[in-house]
Amino acid sequence: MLKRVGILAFGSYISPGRVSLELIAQVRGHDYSKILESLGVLEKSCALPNEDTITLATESTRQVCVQLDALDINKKNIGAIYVASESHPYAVKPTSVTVGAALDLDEKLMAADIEFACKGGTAALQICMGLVGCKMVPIAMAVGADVAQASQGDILEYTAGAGSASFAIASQDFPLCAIIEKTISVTSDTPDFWRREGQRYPVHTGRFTAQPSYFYHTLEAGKFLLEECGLTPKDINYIVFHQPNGNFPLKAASMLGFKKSQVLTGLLSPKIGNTYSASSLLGLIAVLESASPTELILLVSYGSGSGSDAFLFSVTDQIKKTRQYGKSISYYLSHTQKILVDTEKNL
Amino acid sequence: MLAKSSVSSWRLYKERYLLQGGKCSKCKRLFYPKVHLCLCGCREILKINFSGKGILKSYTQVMSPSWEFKSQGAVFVGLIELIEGILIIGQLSDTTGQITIGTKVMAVLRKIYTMGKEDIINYGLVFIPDI
Amino acid sequence: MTKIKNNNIKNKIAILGVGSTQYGELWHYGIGDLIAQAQIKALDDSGVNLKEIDNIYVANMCGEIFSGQAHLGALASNILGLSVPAARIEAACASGGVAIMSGIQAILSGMSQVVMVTGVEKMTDVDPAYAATALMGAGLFDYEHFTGATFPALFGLITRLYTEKYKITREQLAQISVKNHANGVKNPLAHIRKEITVQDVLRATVIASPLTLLDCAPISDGASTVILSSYDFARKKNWDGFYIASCASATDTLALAQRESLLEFKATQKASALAYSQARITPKDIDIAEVHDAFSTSEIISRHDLGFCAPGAQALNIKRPVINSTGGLKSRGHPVGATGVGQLVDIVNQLRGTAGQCQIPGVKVGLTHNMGGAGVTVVVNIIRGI
Repeated sequence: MLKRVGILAFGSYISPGRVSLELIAQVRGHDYSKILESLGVLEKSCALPNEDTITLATESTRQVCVQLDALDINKKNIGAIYVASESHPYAVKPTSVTVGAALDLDEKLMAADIEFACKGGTAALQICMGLVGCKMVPIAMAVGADVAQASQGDILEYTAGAGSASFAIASQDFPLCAIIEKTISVTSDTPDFWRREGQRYPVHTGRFTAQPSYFYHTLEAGKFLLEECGLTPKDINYIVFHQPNGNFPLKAASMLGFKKSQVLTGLLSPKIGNTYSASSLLGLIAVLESASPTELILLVSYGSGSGSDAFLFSVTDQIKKTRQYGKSISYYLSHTQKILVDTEKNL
Repeated sequence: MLAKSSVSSWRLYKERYLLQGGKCSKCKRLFYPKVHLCLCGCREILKINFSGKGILKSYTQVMSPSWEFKSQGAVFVGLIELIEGILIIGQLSDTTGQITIGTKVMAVLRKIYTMGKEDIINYGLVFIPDI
Repeated sequence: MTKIKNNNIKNKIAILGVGSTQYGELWHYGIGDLIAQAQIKALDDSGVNLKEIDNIYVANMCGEIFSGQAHLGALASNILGLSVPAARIEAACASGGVAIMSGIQAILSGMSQVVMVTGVEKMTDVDPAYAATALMGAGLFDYEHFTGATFPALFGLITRLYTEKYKITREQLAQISVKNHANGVKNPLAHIRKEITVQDVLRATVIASPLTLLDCAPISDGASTVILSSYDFARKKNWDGFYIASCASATDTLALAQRESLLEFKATQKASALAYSQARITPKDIDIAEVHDAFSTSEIISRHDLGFCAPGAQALNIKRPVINSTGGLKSRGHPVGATGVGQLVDIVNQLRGTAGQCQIPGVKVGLTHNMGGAGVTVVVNIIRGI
């Protein structure tokens, strides 16, 4: 029987650059009103030229360390770190080690990089739960970070964003702010979106990415988790989905029987676009920053290829203290720089 | 110099990622980077990781960059007084062209340079406005 | 620290001959060619027999980086068909001054009688950005270059602090370059011979704000040679009596941020104080000076570090000594390793009365100030005649 585990500390980072979708439509010669209608996104986050997945993952994990420090917990207790991304800077040389070195984590550290398209971060969460639950390490760090890629002129260009979310996972030996009550996954071999080795930009199969891909897995996982927990949508306070655009999460919520009000707190994509591996996790952090003790959060991620991880979180009293520390999502939403041209530079 | 290997970068990773310097165990003088011998003659120099927080004392916009920074356009460099009381020179970022002496700054990890698609990526701390 | 016992005529360092090549973008000449030209010029000027040279120093910062050629001391010896002891001396932009000091030490030790000191730099074979990286070796490379700083950037940081503290305007700062250019026009060996105005300086391309292209010494090729000897040797020759009365040097931290103050260069203060004391003179006795103006700010700061005036706006208006009469680094050019020796060549010509259109009449006591990095190494020489 696994010991109860959960979130000890969390941290986020959203790149400050913002590109308006209206500008992209102008440059590409597309009809902005149709784009807005189909995507439900106004602005997307954009990495600055000197940022990449390693720097983003470091900064969100740094905010976790700020919380740990405030809770008087030595970061040398972090015994493992897993960074998930679709945009690791190296094909061979893990992002995790640089994050560990940049934050002066202990050298006796388990580490590896994870990839499962946009749900790599939640897969990392599950791995950390296992390590912590069987007492292999006291604290394990799960990070989802991406500087999302999209080829020029493709619809994905409108939403490919840049962000990172980090979680310190621990057992109840530590003052957890949210318990992970249950997690399940749904996995299948589905060709909706992929990127071959050596290729710069991913490829996707248009309308196939909706019903048989995103919606099938998300709904299956969501329903399965609710059944396993003996719960219905009205028992849940917040639902957070993977957010490829502003519309899919609203549609998935409705199809699962949730109300719009249950989705909105964790819905960030209209303001920041799709941060890929960080997407659902940043939504989770937005919820943690306003949820009350005893409230329940359902998170269903989605990663192309495909799969969904679903989690049930119960918020504890500790949340009120822990969330006072570190930079909040609202900080990142209010400290932005308008990007007027494509500033992608080769560093 | 221009064929500097990843090894010489690796050797400096604590100085570059953690702003690690030295503190004389005898007279408490601070150094970045660390020294082998303090000015007081003491050889016992303790390691200290500076916080990266400070105040901007001077700056310059480098329009004629050096080789490794050539592809980046203008680079902003600042003279920063860290809260611990010492001065360092550091790259400034996220300034959106507006820089004021006296601004509070803090260090974050960013890419510094890489010499081509096969080379190691050099990361280090740059200073952004602390708002 | 160099201590020359003064007032003892036997310890004077005689200057037997001097010569400089053209400074500029010398596409047709490699580093060996430049050494040869300067050495031959000085030899002819000196009337010394080639075989009498018993030691060679070559001042150079970037030979291996820009030309692949190290071992320049041996090369210089080889060029003259000699097989004497020879060494390359490097102290960034103060290589020339330190090589002169090395020559003096060789003579005073008694190990050498006649020393040929050549400074050379061949900078134009490489991309200016490549040169900019190499020149950051003058500071604490791993920490200062890594920030994206260039050598002009370090002076940009200093300039902003200095002009803010002393309330000096951009226009006032520009006067330094205008003056140096006006002098350089009269110097046939200068790299840049073009009059400029204050507006030209302000409108020029920004290199590292607030410094523009016209605040900064150019990247140049060139070489200069001086032949030094003991007094005993000189008095048997047709020597015109000019000698180095003192030579002093000091160093400071490589990292600019580790200085006590960024508004002065303590190495200049220390080296010049020693030089004045050893020569038994004060700054007031200097008639003419070569002051290291890699940037307009470095000339202003050096004027008060050398004791010619107080810091601040007053430093802009000194009448005496005459400073950088042949154009300074700004206009004469700055082949890094050559400059420290070239400064001595130009002062000797002034004292002799052979400075052509640049001549300042009646000068008797000269000073050279050569600086490596941002005040990291400084060498000061005081030159006079018997």
